[in-house]
Amino acid sequence: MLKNYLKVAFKVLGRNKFYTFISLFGISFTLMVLMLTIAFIQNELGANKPLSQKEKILLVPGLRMEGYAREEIVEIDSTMVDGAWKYDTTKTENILEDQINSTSNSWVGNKFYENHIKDIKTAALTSVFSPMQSIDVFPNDRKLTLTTNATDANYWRIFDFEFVEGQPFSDAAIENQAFQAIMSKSAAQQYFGKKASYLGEVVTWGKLQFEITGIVKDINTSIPHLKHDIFIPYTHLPPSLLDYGWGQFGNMQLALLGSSSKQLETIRSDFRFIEENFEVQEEGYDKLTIKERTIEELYANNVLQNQERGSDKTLRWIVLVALLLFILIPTINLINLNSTRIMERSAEIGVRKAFGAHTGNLMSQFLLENVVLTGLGGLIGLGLTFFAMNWLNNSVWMENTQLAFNPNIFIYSLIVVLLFGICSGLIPAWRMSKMDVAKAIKRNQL
Amino acid sequence: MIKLQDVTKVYRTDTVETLALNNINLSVEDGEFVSIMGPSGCGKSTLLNMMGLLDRPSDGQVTIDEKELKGYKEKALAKFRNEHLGFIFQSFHLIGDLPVVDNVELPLLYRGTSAKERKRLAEEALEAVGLKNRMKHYPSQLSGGQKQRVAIARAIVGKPSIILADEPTGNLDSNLGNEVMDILLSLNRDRKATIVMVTHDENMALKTNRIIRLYDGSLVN
Ligand SMILES: Nc1ncnc2c1ncn2[C@@H]1O[C@H](COP(=O)(O)OP(=O)(O)O)[C@@H](O)[C@H]1O
Ligand SMILES: [Mg+2]
Repeated sequence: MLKNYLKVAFKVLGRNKFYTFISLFGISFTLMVLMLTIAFIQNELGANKPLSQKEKILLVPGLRMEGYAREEIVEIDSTMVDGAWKYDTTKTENILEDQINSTSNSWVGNKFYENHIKDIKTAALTSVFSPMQSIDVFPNDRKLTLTTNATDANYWRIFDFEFVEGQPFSDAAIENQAFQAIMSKSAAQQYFGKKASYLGEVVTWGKLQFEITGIVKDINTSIPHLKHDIFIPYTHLPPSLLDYGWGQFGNMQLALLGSSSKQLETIRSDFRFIEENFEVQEEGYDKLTIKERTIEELYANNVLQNQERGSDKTLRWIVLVALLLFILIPTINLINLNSTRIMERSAEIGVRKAFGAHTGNLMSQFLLENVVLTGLGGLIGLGLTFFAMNWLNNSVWMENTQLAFNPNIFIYSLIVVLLFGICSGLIPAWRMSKMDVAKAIKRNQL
Repeated sequence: MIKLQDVTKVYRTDTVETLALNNINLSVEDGEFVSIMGPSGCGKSTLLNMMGLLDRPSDGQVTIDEKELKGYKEKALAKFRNEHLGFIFQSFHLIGDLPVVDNVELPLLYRGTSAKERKRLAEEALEAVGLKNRMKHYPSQLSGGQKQRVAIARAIVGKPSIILADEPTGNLDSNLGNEVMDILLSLNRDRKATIVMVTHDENMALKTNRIIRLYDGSLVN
């Protein structure tokens, strides 16, 4: 039975090459885009190093201060005292919390971290770091611009960078302002030239000299806070960078590690508690807000160009709906093509029915035909994906991205292919196999 | 035995209602070779479809081999057709994507017969119509007469007790038509197959046991 169906399936494909081409092209192209999209998302948001723990990480990229509008209410009480009016004025200042008068946003100050965040009980680890600056260095009298990050020791416990050699900063190294540096492999190569080992080499940074104690693998994610050329202990930062001296602002950002993604909610409610009990000293300002974000929220903020918490959910919906629409279009197209094509075969269907095929037989035949078609499309799609990934990975304008052809993607796409086959085959097949035998035979000739 | 009792068939489309069969009562005995004649559009094919369980009557009932088929579901009807009925159509209706042998095997496919047995029976049926040497050919490589003989092989491969043929010689010239008619006659004679055949050819009809005449959906006596 299967062999008979397969024979017909391949014959049908060969019979109308244009239709087959359109179908295969639709399927394989859709699949390719789908798989590239998933690969791209995985590259950005997958549990890859140094974000293996990304579900449990809360970042604080900055703080916000708000001052509310005020209205002065003047009440005048008048009383008659000894035949003359006496006026009593009471002034009350009313804070209008729904009218924001002034706002100020910046990064986090080190003092705020030490006083309020560092020892927060709900977090397993807290880290402070300063991922802002670019510096110019001059190895062999050649100008090289490096992006820098000044970190504490916990930074390396929260973000699990892959060390090619050496190790992260120890607590003691941070405490003692050790002149140590960690470099990314590519930066080290640019600075020192290609070498088997860079440990013990010295980077000159202005008047300071740092000894290389670790080399990390370059990372793919486009999330800021992580991708830097050189890392030094944050205790080298001048006080004016650690704290700006106004508000709670400074040049720092924070990272907190919870015990689970759910537990991040507890940390967040601790933040709300801190905000509520925080007395803002600055003139005209009333409220301090900690702008914490999960990695995914931060990524969604970047993509959607907004500042909202919960953007990750919005982005997820947008991506999901977009992908669904993207699959839907060729599926509908296929259903359409299938419907017309299957009409041409009504006589075959009628004959098969006359000789004893029931709806189930015909359904399985047409489904098989579609699975063969989509399977072929799937294979071509896989090939195309492989090709496109290779090309993208080697192209210059996607240097941040290293799309990987992983088995997960393969499974996803297999499911999609199957859905394709079933969706595009089921409806026309069902309609057709329900058709009256007499009508089907009459309809046309083989 | 095929028995039609008060069978009426009305075709309804959006605009018109056609009374294709009007209160037909008739029976065909086992082993009988009956021909149906009548002008075009008088309901011959419709009548044959009723007998072949390819369509349901609007009213009345069809009984085959004492089985009242009114209550049969689609699947049961398909099984019944598969086991008891063989069909031959005017325009052959072979599946062009399959070689001759696979076309002939078709009824056995839905019976769950093993591939080996299917092949053996198909060979046997093709031998009976003199086309054993065309097994691997595709329908498009055959002449009209050969195609109809393949269709006959397909109709008899499952050894049905009843063969229903709708103008089997209608698309063939008289020589080839006679060839096909001879095969049908021998099937009736040698295998005791019950055959109901629609034809326009008076000479062919005269070779059968009985002629049923139809006019405007009703039997003519
Ligand atoms: N599926 C159908 N829908 C509507 N009318 C039909 C259908 N099949 C047949 N008819 C009508 O029923 C009548 C009998 O048709 P048919 O049995 O095919 O005639 P014959 O085979 O004698 O030429 C004709 O008027 C025809 O137009
Ligand atoms: Mg007819």
